[in-house]
Amino acid sequence: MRRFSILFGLAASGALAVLGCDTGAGSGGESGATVDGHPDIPAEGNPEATRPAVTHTVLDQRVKDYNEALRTASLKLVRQLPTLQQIKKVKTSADPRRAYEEELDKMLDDPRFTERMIKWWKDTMRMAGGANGDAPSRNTAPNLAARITVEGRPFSDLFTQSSGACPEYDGDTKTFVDGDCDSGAPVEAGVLTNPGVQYQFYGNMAFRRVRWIQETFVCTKFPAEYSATPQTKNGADYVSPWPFESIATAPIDFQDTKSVVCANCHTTINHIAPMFGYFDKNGKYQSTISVMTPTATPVATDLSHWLQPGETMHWRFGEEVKDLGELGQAMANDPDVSECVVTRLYNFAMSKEDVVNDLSTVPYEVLDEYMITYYQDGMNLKSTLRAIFTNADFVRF
Amino acid sequence: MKTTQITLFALALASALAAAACEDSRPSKLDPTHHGAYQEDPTKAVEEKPGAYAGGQKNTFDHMSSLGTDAAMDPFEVLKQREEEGPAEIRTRLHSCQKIQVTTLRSILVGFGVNMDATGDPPTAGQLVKEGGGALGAANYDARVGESLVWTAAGAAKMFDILVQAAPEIIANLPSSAQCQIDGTGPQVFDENNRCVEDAVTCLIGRPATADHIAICNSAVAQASDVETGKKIAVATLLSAAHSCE
Repeated sequence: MRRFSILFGLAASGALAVLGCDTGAGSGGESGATVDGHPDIPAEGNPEATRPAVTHTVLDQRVKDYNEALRTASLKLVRQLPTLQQIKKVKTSADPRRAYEEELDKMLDDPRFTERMIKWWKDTMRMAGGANGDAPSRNTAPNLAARITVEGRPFSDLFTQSSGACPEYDGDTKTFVDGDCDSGAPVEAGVLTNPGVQYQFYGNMAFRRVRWIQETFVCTKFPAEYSATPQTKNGADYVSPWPFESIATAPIDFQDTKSVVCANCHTTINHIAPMFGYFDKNGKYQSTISVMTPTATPVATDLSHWLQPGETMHWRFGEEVKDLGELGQAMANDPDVSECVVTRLYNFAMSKEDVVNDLSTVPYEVLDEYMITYYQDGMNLKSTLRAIFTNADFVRF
Repeated sequence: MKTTQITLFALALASALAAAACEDSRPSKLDPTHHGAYQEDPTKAVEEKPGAYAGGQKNTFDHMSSLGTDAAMDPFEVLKQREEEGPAEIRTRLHSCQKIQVTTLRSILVGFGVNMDATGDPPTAGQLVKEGGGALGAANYDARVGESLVWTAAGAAKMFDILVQAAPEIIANLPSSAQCQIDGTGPQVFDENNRCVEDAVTCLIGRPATADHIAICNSAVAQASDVETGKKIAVATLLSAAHSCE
């Protein structure tokens, strides 16, 4: 009877666990359970079963090749070819998939992966360089992103970390060195208050800083917001959900429609830019607005140059933020920001071009299984990357 | 009484296990409602229409098409490329070709025993890498431009020049390179009959060499004006062909 009780309890635990938590999610890896060995046709136990079945396409012509995957992964993750020993291990293994994944895991724990991620983030963020005179370090923002990546911390920390957000990297010891940004901002918010970012993207009315935020972390150019009910303004299409009249008309007329409809983009931009306007050209936060308005004779920007009186800061229409700390939180919660970084990881792995400049966008049907891993693992970029590098698509050529 | 306690314990354990398992009950499918349908034709997007960032003569500011000094790709070129490559759900699942990054090229050469600090006339492989950053698509962070992801014709030609210059060192040093050693012993690139050695070719190209690889290698040696020149061409050609893409 006692044994029965225990067995009953354990059986119940299993049943509850299964019933209560059946998400239907794929594992992100590659299962052997396929229909006729085809990786794309949904089958029980096939982690790709969530995908639409795609048959009789060029995808069918691909061949699973773990040695080719090893080579590509090695070049991408540690910037080195696999050694002869690694190549032979995978080639001669009775279970090449396992052999490949063992080598993959070693790469992801290798200091060379850390350095690769630093470089990848430098390229993604379009910035690098040590402190020089009044110029702050432009390495610390990519360093923070790389550190979050290799340490498997939530990606959202990139926008919300309030201390230690400006680490340096010691190439000799292969370790990150803690560092605060000390930007002077009332609230530190990850890369959003990074002096190097503010320096690198300094420009009129802080617009370049806002554009950097949008293109780097949302992966689209402006316009960023589209109304469900576009309107016509002076014969031109106005697509933004914001009230057209919410933005300034002087000294620059953002409501102008004679050439393009400025408001399509600037309704969003102008509700963000004032928060970045307090950083001067050296990336230091000042008590007054420290950017210029590009009139014939440039003048110091005033809040009224961006917005109509009474307008407040927002990340998006309906998402008011009071400061950069709240902006960081809003970005951390924005699914578009998460989708953007996973797209960038996917493009990195699959050798695609840039998602913004080259429009290498990835459809949601392809991306969503990686998004599931990303969310299930707590916005962990490293495990998301592993899921991509072990997926059926990555190991087929 | 004891049985009741055990039963309660088992149920408590069950609940605990279930609760622990439920911590993983995060999304299994993305919410598709936060974005619209995938736009296959980029030229229809507001931001990609001709003149989207250009102002008139008097009324609006002329915006840069990119955050840096690099140019964004013409959306009509993107459309043409997409039409050649097929639907998004197919083309995005295929590997594309990304150029070898400059640091990666250096690492590959160092791994094969090339001294990147050596100097000479004509310039050594190391000098060509150091001086060839522009052609190789190196980053220009001051101009807010990251390293290029794709080759230019000049960049690909530059890499071949570098590999040709590196070939003699690679042939000489490959057997002693840790990259290509197993149990402390590395293969010669060519055997006593000047034929390519499989393990060496495998190590050079980073994947198991096939009979075709060996045949091409042997053919390059045999068809050259002399054997030594043929060996250099064979190694440079193998490397260039194998590593034109990551």
